Amino acid sequence: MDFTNKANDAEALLQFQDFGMGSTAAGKPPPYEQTHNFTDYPSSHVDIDEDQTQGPTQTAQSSQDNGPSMLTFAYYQRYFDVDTPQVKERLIWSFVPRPSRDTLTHYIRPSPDLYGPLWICVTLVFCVAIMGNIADYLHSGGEGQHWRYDFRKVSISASTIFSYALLLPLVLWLLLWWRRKEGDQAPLGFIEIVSLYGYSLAIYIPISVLLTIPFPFIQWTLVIVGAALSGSVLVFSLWPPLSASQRGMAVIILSAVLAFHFLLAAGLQLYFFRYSNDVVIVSNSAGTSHGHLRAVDSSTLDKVTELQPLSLIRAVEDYSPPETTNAETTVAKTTTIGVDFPATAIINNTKTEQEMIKSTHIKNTTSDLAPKKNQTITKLSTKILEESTTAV
Amino acid sequence: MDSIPSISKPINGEGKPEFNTLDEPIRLTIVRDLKAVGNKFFHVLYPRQQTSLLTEWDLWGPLILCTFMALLLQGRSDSTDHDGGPEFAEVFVIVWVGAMAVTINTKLLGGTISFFQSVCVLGYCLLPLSIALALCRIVLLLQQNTLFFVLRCGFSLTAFFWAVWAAIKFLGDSSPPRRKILAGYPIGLFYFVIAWLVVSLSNS
Repeated sequence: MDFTNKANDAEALLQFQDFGMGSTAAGKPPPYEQTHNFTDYPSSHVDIDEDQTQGPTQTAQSSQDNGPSMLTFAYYQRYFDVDTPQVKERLIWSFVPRPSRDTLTHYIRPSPDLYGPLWICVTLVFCVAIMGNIADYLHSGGEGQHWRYDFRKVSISASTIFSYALLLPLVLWLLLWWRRKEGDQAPLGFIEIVSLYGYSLAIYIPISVLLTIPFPFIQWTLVIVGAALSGSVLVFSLWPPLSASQRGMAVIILSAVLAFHFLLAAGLQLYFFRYSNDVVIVSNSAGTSHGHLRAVDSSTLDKVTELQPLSLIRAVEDYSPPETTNAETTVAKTTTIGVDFPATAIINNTKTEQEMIKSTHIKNTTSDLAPKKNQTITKLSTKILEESTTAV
Repeated sequence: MDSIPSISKPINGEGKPEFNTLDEPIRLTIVRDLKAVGNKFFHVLYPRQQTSLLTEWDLWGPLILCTFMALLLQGRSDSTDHDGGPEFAEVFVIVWVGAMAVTINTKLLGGTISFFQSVCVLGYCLLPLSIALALCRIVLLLQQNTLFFVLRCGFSLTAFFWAVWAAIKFLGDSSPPRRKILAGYPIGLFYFVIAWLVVSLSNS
């Protein structure tokens, strides 16, 4: 009796509990009990390409929700989710290379932002344009009549810098995406690469301020140091994901990255800040034994305009010295010619010291034209006219 | 009776909304709007209370200031010696696109200000720079030397700081607490670029 009761009880206990479909509420699937829930999944790794790395046991609801769509404001808002200390930190680590903790993984990856790249690029554009104008102004010796400030520098610098900051990350991202094999760790997101590139341009802002110093040695030093520092940050950050697969390819890609970075800095320096103190002609008075030389520092022409040859001719015509060799001391105010416009000024010395000074590319003339005594102007104006008309 | 909503601000001195402003003479409308613009100019120069610029925003003031500055800043493109100054349209683009970029930046960072309020404030705070531009133009009529250049720089710099101070006063409360500098930096950059345009004005 007891036993049967107990047996009945035991039997009741042993009875399989019937979770019929009707017993659950609203047809929801039974709750997971046996499988593991990965709750410590690193939520920081948010990729713009969804679903590649999401854990397999995310609940059904979250895998269908891709975040706000690209057309809404909130989509872009999550790329501006940074505070001031974070931005400061990222700025500093963008040009201080640290091999052990690279910038991308430790500072940018938690929340890649677009605030930094956007405003750094805009600042750099205006900084380069303004400093280029200041360099121009200083070179022309103050409020001279021949100084023109050039607003087109802004548009040119804007196109250069923004295309660098957007196109190179795009190429890099496409390269990584194309080379991705199955089972690899997830490639970098596009926004992360844009972020990294944008912050790496930050050091060029103080460098562009310093580039107004007119000595080429200092300029090149600044360019090399800046490109090396921020380029090395780029390389350290991009090495881990690139070298996961073929190493040789990674080395090639990274050297191309470094080369472009250096090219940008050099290009900015050469285009906006390259005003060497060129001496094209020297003059003296022909009959005196001690000819005094006046190195004529002249105004620079706008490198971009096509009016350049015309105004060059006009300027030379205004100041054309007499054709005869026995010229009085005249100051011929010539105009330096831009980098792309080679002019050959041949100065014949009819006196005892015969020196042919040929300046093929004006930018190399600083060391070539050592001032010598007793040189006369012979037919310089016609020569420059000939050269300019042939060059046009 | 159905009331036609008025175009300008609805509250007059009696505390009753003014409707039916379509029937009034045009002179009255223009004078009222000009008074509103002038009132806002006054508040930019002496920022005390914020409500007039923020709650009753309008874009007339920015338009007047922008047109005035663009007229004075444009370079002459017809002369043979190419004056590298900005075109009229370029100044417009800089001012309006710049104001929009700064506003969108503030909103993306989590600011609580509306789009047009922010554009209104940024446009009205161009007033010190317009005054500086007018003064620079007058100075340029005199003979040029270094002293006058320094004077022009001084005008421009004062106007820049004044504009930034006024704009921060109006817009400062609307950005989130840990991001005030992030929201304020683009404002500084915007006025800095315009101040540079003012300094670079030259006779040609």
